[in-house]
This record gives sequence, structure tokens and C-alpha cells, in this order.
Amino acid sequence: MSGVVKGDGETLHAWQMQDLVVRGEITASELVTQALARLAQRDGELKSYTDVTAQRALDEALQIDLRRQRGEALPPLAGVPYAVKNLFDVTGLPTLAGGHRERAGAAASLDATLVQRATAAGACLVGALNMDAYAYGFTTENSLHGVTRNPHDPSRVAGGSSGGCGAAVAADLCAFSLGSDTNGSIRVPSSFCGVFGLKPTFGGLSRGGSRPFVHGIDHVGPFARCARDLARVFDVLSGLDVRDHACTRAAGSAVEPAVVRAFAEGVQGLPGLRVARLTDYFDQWSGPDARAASETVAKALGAQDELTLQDVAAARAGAFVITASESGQLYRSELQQHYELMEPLNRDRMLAGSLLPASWYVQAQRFRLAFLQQMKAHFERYDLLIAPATPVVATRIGQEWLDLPAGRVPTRPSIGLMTQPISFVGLPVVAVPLPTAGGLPIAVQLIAAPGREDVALAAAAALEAVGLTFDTSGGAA
Amino acid sequence: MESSQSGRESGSNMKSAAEGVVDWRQYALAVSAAQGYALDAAQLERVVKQLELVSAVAAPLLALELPVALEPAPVFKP
Repeated sequence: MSGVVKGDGETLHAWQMQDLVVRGEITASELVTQALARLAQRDGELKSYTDVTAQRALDEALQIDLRRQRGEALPPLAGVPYAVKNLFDVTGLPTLAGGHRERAGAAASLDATLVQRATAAGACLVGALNMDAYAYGFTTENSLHGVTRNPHDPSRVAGGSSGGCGAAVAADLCAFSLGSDTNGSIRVPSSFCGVFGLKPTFGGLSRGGSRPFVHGIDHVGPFARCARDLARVFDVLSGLDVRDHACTRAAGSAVEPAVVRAFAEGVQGLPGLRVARLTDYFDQWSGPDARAASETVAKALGAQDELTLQDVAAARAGAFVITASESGQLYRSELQQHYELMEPLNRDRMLAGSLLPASWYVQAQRFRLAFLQQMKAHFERYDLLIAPATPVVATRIGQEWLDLPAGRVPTRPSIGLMTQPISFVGLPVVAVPLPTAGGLPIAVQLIAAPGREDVALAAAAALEAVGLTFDTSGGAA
Repeated sequence: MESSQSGRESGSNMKSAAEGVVDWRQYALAVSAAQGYALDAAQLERVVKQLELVSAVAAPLLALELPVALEPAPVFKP
């Protein structure tokens, strides 16, 4: 194992890196140089990055080091190398969103809001990360930019659509990353790559300056190797933004202290937490590893009940229909004029989406409110709900079918069976990776009430504290 | 309800819970023209397969009788 070296070869978390930089035990320039070296060594195989912004990262690191030399107080992500899914605008790069034609497009003239905020917090941008084209997929099998391979088994996918985000963090090619999640695109790569992921409440973080996919369901959020890093990044990036009218969470209510407390105290530090494990639909679509992970977490968190949600398949269907309709509409002109240059793995799904009856879309939007009302009623009784993030561990590259207890389904549209019903109503979720008997990771969703990221993050930290979670340094070769 | 997702993913004449038997090839031909596409035969076949897939997944949603008072949530605020 390599990783950020402090003399003992330990892979460090972002909060630890910042602490070392503040104390002068390592420089930001050294952290960035080490990350770039690992990237050069490993990413030829993994293909998690589409663009490397080495000079920018080194320049940003130098500024941090100069600030320290001047005796200035350093910000909360000082010197931390990070990367973003290539649908976030990065000044000087074309925003690809995984697309083919976009490579020849104009470079962005302004950073996305979250990139601006990460920069202001001292983080150093190492590059842009691979994804399923247009964010429509769960495998990051991208025909132009290549397949992002799983750091734990290169014959398997990293998940998607933010596959580069999961792989780069798992392989320690950056300390954290920023991705997007419409139907599971943060939670699925977290599960397949064995890292932590936060899909905030809808509107929890600004999407300003990111390429949309489905305006009504798109979320953005971080990947990291521990819950505390997720919390710190979430705190730093939070805040209203005129560039995203759907962003509703103001800055100011930090969640990191609760996470630190939970890690120190373990599950005993979560007294009175009311937890239920989601069954029926979720069990029917779970393979053995997913089921076992869900039950393990439920037991560890002292789940009092098993809970059956009503009309979960309809919720998943609603997300499916809204996604197909909105993305098909968004890319209709491209499909009409440049079909041959679009991603073969999803252009027909998108085109079909643009043909769906309006009545289906409206039915989905109306049902969305009903399903949210149901979920809010459950959160009167519970603080946290538990479900697997994916039906199985990482699938093999090119795998066409999933065989699950409820039946055989096509792989690419079905990996999100567990995640789609939850993001459909915008609930905050932390994906927590666990080891499986076969050695690969699989994640469980810790689902909280709207606006209660703190509850899910604290529970994730408690699971880390009791040693149940996947060793997130294991992907660094 | 869940089993319907895996059980209706082949054949061009789909039985949608909401609309009875649908000839998705005819539908795709008509609506793609209305939407400004000019699909060749191979594209049409692939799009028909996708419409069948979406239709199968959508069935439990379309089967629901929603109360009249239930509003759409196009700009969503949890």
C-alpha cells in the first residue's frame, strides 16, 4: 500500500492532511506532488481521470504553503488534493459531461460554484474525472474516454455515473472528489469502489456551473474515505447560490462536530436513535451480499423494526420516467443532429425518453409528492432507514444481466433499483461501504429525513468506529 | 408489482397497465416524426426496445389511481 507518506506509508484522510499541513509536518506542495505521482503510476490502467490539472494543483498548493510561511490561519481543506466529475465547470477545460462532441467545445471561463468554494477552502484541484456519458448510466463504460476500472478488481466496473470519482478516491489518486447523483450515481460507485459517499438532500449543495442531466432530480455531493471527510467537505461547500435556484440549504450549521463525536463514542454515542431496515422490495432485489450488509448494519445500529414501504416499484418507475423524459428533452437537439457522435450505450434510451407520453411524466411528478408524504410519515417514527446501495458487488465490464432473487434484469438500467426510489424524493443518504465474504466492497444506504445529513453521517462514523466498514485504504496499490 | 419489471421486457406488443396493448413500433414511428427525428430501421428497432423497457418499468406507476388533489412536484422541495 502506498498513500500519502508521513514516514510510515499511511493513507491519510483529508482532515488529517489539513492538520499535518497546518502543523507544518508536510507541505501542500508535497501532498499534491505525491498525488500526481500516484496518478501517473496508476491511472493508465484505471482511467478514472479524463483531464489532469497538475499546474493548477501545484499553484494552489504553493499559495497554501506561502500563506503558512506568512503565519496566516489556514482554511479547512488546506493542501488537500481533490478532483471533480467532468460535468463540473473547471476554468480552462471543456465541460465534457462524458460526451464525445464536448471535447472540442469551448473551455469553461468560470469554475463551478462548488469548485470555487473548495478552492477558497484551500483544496487543490488535481483534475476532472470520468463518467457515463451525460450521467446516464451506472457503470462508467464510456466509449470515448474508456472504461473506468475498479481499483479492487480491474476486470470489474467502478460503478456510475460518477465512476471516476469512486475509483480515484479508492485508489488514493485524490483525497476526496465531487460527483453528481440523479438515480444513484454517487451511491453506486461508493458501493462498487468501497468508499463513503454523501448524496445530500435535494437542494443541499449548489449545482451552479455543473452540466444538468435531470433538472428535477440532480444532486451533487462528495466521495471520501471516511465519514468525517464527507462532513467537512459538506460543511465547507454548503450555502445558497444564485446560480442554482433549487439550492435551499444555507451555510452555517456544521455537521462535522457531530460526526467527530460519533466516531469517538461509537454506536454507544447514538442513544435513542430510531432505526428501521427496509424489507420486501429491497430484499427481493438484493443479492446475498447486499442482504447480509443491510442486516449487519441494522444489527449494529440497533434497528428496532423492519419496515415495508408502499409502492416502492412505482417510486423507482417515477424516477425512471422523469429521468428518461427530462434527459431526452434536454438532449433532443443533439440526438436530432449528432446522433452518430453520441454514446452508443445510452443514446437510444435517451431518444426513447424524448418520445414518452406527457401523461407518464405528469403521473410521475404527482406520485412523487405522495411518496414523499409517505416517507415523511415514516420519519415521524424513525431517524434512519437502512437499505442496500446496490443489488450486488461490482459487476464485470460488459456484463449484460443481473440475476437477482426477484428475477433476471438487464445490468445497466437496473443497478439503481435500490437507489432510485430514495433520490426520487430527495432524501439525504450516506453510502457506507462494508466488506463482503468475497473481499469486494458493497455499500449500505443510511437514509435520513430531509435536511438531516448529520444523522446519517454520525451513524456512518459510528459504524467506522466499531470496525464494520470496508478498509478504504485497500484500493491504494 | 415488482415482478412486472422483469417480466415484460421482450416483444413489441406490450400490455401497459394504463393503455392496453401497445404497438411500440407504430408509436415510435409516429411520435419520432412528430418530434423531428428521422430514424433508420436499425435505430427504430433499438428505440422500440428501449420503449418496451421503459414501459415495463413504468407499469406499476401508471397503474396507480392518484387523488385529484395531488399536485405535481416539478421543482422539488423535500
